[in-house]
Amino acid sequence: MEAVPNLLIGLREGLEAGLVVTILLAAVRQANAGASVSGGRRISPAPVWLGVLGAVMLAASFAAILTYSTDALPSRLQAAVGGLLSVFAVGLVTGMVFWMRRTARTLTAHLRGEVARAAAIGAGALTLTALLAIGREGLETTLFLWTAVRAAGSTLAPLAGAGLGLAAAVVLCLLLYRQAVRLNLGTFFNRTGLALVVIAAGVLAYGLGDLQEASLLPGQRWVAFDLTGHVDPNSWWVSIISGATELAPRMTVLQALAWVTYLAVVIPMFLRAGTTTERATTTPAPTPTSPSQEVPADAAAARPDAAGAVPAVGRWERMASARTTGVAAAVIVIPAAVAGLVIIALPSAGASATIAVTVTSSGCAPEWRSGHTGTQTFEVVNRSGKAGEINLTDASGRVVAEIETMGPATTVPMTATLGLGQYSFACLMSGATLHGTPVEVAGEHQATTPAVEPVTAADLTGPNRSYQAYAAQQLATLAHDVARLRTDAAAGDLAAAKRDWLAAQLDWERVGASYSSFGAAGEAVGGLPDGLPGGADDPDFTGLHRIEYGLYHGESAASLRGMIDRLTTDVATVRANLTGDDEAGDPTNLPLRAHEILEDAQRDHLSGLDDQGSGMAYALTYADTQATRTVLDVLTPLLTARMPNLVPTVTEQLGALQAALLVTRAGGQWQPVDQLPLPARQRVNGALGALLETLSNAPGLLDVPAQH
Amino acid sequence: MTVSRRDLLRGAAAGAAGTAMTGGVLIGGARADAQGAAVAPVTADSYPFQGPRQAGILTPGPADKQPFATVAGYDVIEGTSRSDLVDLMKTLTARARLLTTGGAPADPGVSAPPADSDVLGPHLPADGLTVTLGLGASLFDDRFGLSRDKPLRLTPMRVFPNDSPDPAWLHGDLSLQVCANHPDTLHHAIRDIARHTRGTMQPRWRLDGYNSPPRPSGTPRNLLGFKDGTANPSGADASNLVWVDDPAEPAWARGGTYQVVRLIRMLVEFWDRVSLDEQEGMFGRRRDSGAPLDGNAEFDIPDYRADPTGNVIPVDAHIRLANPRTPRTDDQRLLRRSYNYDLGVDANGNLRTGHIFVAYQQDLHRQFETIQTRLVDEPLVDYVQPFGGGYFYIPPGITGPSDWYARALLVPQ
Repeated sequence: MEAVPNLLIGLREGLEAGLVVTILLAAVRQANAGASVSGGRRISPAPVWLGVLGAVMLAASFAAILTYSTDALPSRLQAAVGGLLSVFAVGLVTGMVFWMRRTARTLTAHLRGEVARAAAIGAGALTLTALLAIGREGLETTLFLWTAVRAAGSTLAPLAGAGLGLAAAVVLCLLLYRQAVRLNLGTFFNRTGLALVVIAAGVLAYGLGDLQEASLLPGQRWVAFDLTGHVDPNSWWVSIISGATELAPRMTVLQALAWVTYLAVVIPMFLRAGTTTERATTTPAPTPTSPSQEVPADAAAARPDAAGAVPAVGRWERMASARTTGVAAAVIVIPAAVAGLVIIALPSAGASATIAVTVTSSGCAPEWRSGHTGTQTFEVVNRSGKAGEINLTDASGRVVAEIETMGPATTVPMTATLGLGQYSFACLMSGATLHGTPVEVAGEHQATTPAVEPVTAADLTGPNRSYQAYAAQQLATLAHDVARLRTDAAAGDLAAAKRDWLAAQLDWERVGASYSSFGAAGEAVGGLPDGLPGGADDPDFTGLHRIEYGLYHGESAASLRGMIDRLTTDVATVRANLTGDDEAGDPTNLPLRAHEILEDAQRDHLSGLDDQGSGMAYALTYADTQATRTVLDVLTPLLTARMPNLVPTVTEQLGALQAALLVTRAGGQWQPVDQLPLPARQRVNGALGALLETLSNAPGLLDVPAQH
Repeated sequence: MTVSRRDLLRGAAAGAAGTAMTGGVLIGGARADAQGAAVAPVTADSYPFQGPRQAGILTPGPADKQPFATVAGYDVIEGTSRSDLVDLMKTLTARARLLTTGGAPADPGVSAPPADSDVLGPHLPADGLTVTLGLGASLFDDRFGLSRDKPLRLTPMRVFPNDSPDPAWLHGDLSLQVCANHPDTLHHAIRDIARHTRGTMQPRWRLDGYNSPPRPSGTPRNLLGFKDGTANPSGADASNLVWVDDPAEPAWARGGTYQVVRLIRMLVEFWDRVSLDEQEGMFGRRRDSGAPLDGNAEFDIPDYRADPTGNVIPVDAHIRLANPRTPRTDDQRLLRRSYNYDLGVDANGNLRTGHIFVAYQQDLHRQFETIQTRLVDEPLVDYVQPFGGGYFYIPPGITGPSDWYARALLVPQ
């Protein structure tokens, strides 16, 4: 329903402008008819069309300036400017409605005189005449449409309505020109005039509301009615009412009074003006070939602005007389240039506007031909019909932005911060890799985000082998410590068994697999009772934490023998499958370990989640720092090549965390977390938190793209 | 053109009527705005981050304060150096500036996790956010060499008779009061600030609060059902009571203010079993209208001199003890900017709910402590349990793009 007022505005204003064009063309044709009789010089209608083009450019530039300039303003100023323009537009439209009533019938004679005079001077002058006659309509239409769109609160439907109205007007004008239809223009302008007055009242109320919002007018809190709580703004009847009248469900007293007063004053005036000119307006509308002899000679002077415009036109006309090309260029270039300059001069609301690029089966972002430095967003449309990965790379092939997985027929935004230099798109669609044309990015020097050299699984294979060797060594120690646990438990030595359990648990932490990353075999060794229906008593709860639970919950060391035997077997299974894909076989998982080992310490140890009675969270966390250290060591060359300061920062923060953990010990013994003073805990939490933030960069730097 | 006398008269009448109506609408509107300001809070989309004073105290003031708040105490972690503290202040300033201004988060590049949680969508709205940073007495110990720069009145919060202090909810090296128009904005801000400050600052306690709308009009009610904040100072009166201008205070502190945070549980189930008479006697106001017991409307001024023995408003009524309205106690008034809180249920099945009392003043002794001492053993104490909070000093505002919180303290001129 928001489309209706704009449809009407578009139709009505378009018809007005179209009639002017029709009259001008008819005047040219008539002048030529006269010329062929008297053997005079023929004039071409082309300058009229050039004038039309200029007027359209003028209107488009004005629309662009309105849109961009107000978007760039802070919201309060936006309201102020929008409000003032709305009130101005209402004044303009009201004046136009009355003027059209008064002068519709004298327009033909007036314009015909102008054409004859301009044609005598030259084609350029004719262009200017057409430009001035239509440009005024164009600016008025733009302003009124723009304010109506603002009042409607949405963009698409009103603009579609305006487009439809304008299209209908063009068709109607064509038909009128061809004399295919006859239209009682008097009645048409009467009826639509009344509707325009109603719409204008709504725009006036909206504009005043804007001015109140901007605190330029008082009374924002003096509300006449507020139905927002009672009516559903999306219901059909509300959208019909608000759409047709531009009224809102909440209005201040000022808005409501202004609306009523405007209608109460303007409608009677309009109707009265109608009765006095009734005789004139019911005469058939002037059509191009029906000369309106009854028009009084001085009618042109009745048009207030025409009287003022004539001398000005005279001066410009003389200047423009013969320079058709110059005029043609000027009418098109000047409005566009002015709009461009205004928009550029404004704070850049539109500067980071998105750049639309497409991926097809044969092209990779071919639309991107020139670039500027700074942060920008590409709107990537996948029309290739395949899934894939989209990369933006710099001159040395390092990735600066990526869409890691892009489905067929999807549109995904991609933000990139570009510096000076050459960049190009790479579209890694399943089966084929396409490269876009390299683009030279120009502009001011700009700090950029780090570009990342792509990583392959092969790059990670060597480091992963080193990690496997380390893990195998830790697992051997684990097996050894479990064996000792078995002996001490069998001897019934609870204190020794607790010591042995801790040693074994720390061995397991040092493997770097505590966060369920070794599959089912790993769970059997290091799993927790959570998720098991029976909790700690569940028969499926096995491994190191189950033994911890027994040792700290009064179970005898001897009774744990079965559990320890089970653990011995499970550790052997883990060792046997270490290089399998369930455990440490996949090299692309290695970068994840760099941060997940300690993420797990935060999630399970420091929270107390996995404590089965020993209170050894800090001891376990310390072992995790050692495992993390090893993973980082094997990854250091790859990480440093991509982010030189990462490993040094991590090293320092890892040291700080280890120091914070070590000072919590009393007499060389680890203490339960809840028995430590707050500052000591905060120090550990702070050091770990800072380290985790830094480590979160590692997986992204060494991310191996998925195969699509 | 001739104009008849009749037309002239008609025109003049229409003109006069139009002028009268326009004037009436404008004057009426202005009056409604002025009145509305005292009745319905109107929150803005954003408040300026820079200025001589920190936002969130008088911008917006209590009458127009944002409907949601988080108040939290933080510690600067052990082992932090003075230069780390400077970095922390710079980081806090940068985050607060970005969060309160809104806009697009920085592009983190291809390798890093996203720069922002997107809890507020890809383009951050300011959403009326204010971030107010306070400094606790413990920050002025010997860790950072600040002991000689401590504001005169700043101490750890005293334990008053009837308090039930819980160390887990008390004090802090720093305080943050974060207020916004929506709770997700608070969540986002607190999460973002923590993400950028983990290594140097860790939370001690945090409590989320909300402000009630006027029910049905006037000052919002607290969870005891009474309008709370009716007598709050406003305008120049508030400025004169809040901002520190004592020449004896350290130079860096001038233009700041003392913040008192009191986390006060309200035993609402008990309260609901008390007769209305008794409830109104404890406050000294009518519960429905908020009028003082000797008046008819909320903003009527109680006249204690006409009632010296407490015949109408008991002498131990809360409003009478808190603000005796004598010339001598006039400069003891302070600015309250309080919120309600809800924190689930306790072991007995009662609501863990109450009041986040936040007050601002230029002199802790002359204002809050004097009033609180007068309130000791008031009848209301049976229904409220202060258990947390602290005293903090709010340093002056951020004056320019390169300024940061407490710069004048940490980089003496």
